[in-house]
Amino acid sequence: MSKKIHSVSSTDFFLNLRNYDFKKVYSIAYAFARRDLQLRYVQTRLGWFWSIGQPLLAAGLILIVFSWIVKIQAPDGIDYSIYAFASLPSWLLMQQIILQGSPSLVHNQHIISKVAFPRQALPLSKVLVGLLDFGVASLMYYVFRGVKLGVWDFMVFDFLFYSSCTIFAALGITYWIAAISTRFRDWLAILPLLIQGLFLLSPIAYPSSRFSSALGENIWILYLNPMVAISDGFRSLWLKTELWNENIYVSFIMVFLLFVSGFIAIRYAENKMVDTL
Amino acid sequence: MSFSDNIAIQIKNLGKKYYLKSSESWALKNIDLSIEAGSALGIVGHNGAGKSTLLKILSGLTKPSTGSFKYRGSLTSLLEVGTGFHPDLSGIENIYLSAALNGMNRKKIQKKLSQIIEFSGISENYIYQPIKHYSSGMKVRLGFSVAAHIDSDILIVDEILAVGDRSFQEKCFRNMQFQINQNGRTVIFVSHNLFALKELCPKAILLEQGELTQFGDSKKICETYIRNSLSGISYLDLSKRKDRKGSGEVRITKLKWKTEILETGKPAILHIAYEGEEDLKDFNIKISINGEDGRFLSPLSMHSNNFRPTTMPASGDIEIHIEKLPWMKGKYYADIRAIERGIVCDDLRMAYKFEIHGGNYIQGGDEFNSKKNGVFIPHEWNFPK
Repeated sequence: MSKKIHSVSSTDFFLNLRNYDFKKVYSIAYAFARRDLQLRYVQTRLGWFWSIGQPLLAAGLILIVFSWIVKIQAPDGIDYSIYAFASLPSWLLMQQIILQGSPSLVHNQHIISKVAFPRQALPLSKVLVGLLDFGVASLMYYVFRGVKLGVWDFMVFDFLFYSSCTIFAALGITYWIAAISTRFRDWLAILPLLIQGLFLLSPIAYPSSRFSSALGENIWILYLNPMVAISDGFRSLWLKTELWNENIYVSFIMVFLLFVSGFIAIRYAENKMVDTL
Repeated sequence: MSFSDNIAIQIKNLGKKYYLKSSESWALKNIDLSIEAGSALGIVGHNGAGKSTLLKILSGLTKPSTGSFKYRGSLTSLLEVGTGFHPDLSGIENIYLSAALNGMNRKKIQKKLSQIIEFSGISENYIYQPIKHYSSGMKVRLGFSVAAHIDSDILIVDEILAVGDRSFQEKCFRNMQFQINQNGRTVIFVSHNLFALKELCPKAILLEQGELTQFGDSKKICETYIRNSLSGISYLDLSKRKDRKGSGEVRITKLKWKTEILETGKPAILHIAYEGEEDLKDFNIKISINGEDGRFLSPLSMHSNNFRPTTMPASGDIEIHIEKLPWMKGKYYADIRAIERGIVCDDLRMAYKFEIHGGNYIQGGDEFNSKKNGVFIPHEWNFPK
């Protein structure tokens, strides 16, 4: 039986995917995700209740701040909670992937310096963990909407499409920050601020139609944020609201660009990581 | 060039350049090497000679700056025992994690789980406990057990045999022999334990300042290595030695016998000087006296001797008094380590060479003639009553 011959050369181009083995990336991401889940609620009192408690608290906070204090209203007479919570699970997913995935390389530098495994597995493992929470939160919303509106339909393809958009956009951002932070940890210092900015600029707690009063002609700039398309997408799927604004393409293109460039960035950093970390 | 079937790894013109504060230095240069499938190769060299860099490149942790290499089949590197272990996870969960990191899938791990646990010798009640409750010895045993059961055509092993207690070390050693001879693995082995290296690897390479200077019979390579290191070192001025490890908070600056002629059975004083920045607490100096063949013979340690001053000045001198030198005629060399509060501050291999000029250990006794290094132990001969 002849065995596979691997070759490594100083002249290998970093984007060369000849030795790229997605199965391996996935199996290691899976192992890390398992570790995270096993460790997740170690030494907590309420344990797994937090999988439900976290989205509930986030929802409650948004309700208090944006509905009761700021008094934002949903369009077309839709109930505010139904409207705002439609895109909340996707935001929580995005936030979780970025917040946990970005520092994952720096946090695991000890393992990185000793074992050669595909580095992308670390940020990717956070996606696997995040998906579990996303599933729980989406199910909670599905039931909430059903009880409130009496509507129990579920558009599988749209749901999968917008979920994938969330994952790819989040991964793209995460790959970028994770890759750069192996050299410049400054990026980890401003990460919470970045997340906060992204939240405020995303139409989660308010409708994207509010954008129209800002920036005038140049409104497309706000659509550079992929969360805009994702958020509008989830609303259109749960609530059959109007989706298309001519600028929304910008968001979809950004999802694609972010992911591809992030992938390139982390591949580039991967080769130098052990020397720079 | 063709890559013939009996070759496991072929290395061509491999080099690695590092940039340090705008100046560049080559950690590794022009390495050409072919390793036969099913053989074991030892790598010998000082700290900083490029051993770790070579292993890092071969295991895929870092990219070479020049050249290339090819290998056949799967390759796993074990640079550390228990990498990826998490204190809050149980023994079993840590086995899965560590093995997965080294490229094993869950099915394979499941198949080998009972073997791994058995090899580690960790009992049923402990294997389901978080490993933060393990002793350090147990963690090491678990780590090596995982490493020993990884399926791979090529294994790169760095110094991991130097773990655990004596009996477990021997178990690991036998396991390595088994991997090579029975399983037909190709093994690249790095160890400061030249004795183990010679036993495991028929062939070895010598790395000096990033270059491969010799390739051949491992016994000869080890001899050359020791001879070169002994001749090239300035013994009186340890402070100029660069090939040290450790945090650097304390440096050993001197290690020298005060006694001029060393004879077996005669008294002698070993003088040590050290330099640090702050007063030292819980400080320990450990010296290993090794024979000419690299085999460890005697420990000299403050803590082993229950000498534990509560504080010591930042810099100073210390002496070891030996009433009767126990070593037989021959050449010896000493490794020295300085440890403060459990942290290794300085680690110098082959810090000092000395020669014992023979003599009798017991007054009136004969000199025990042997070409090998050896240590006398005080004992008595009696007729049974």
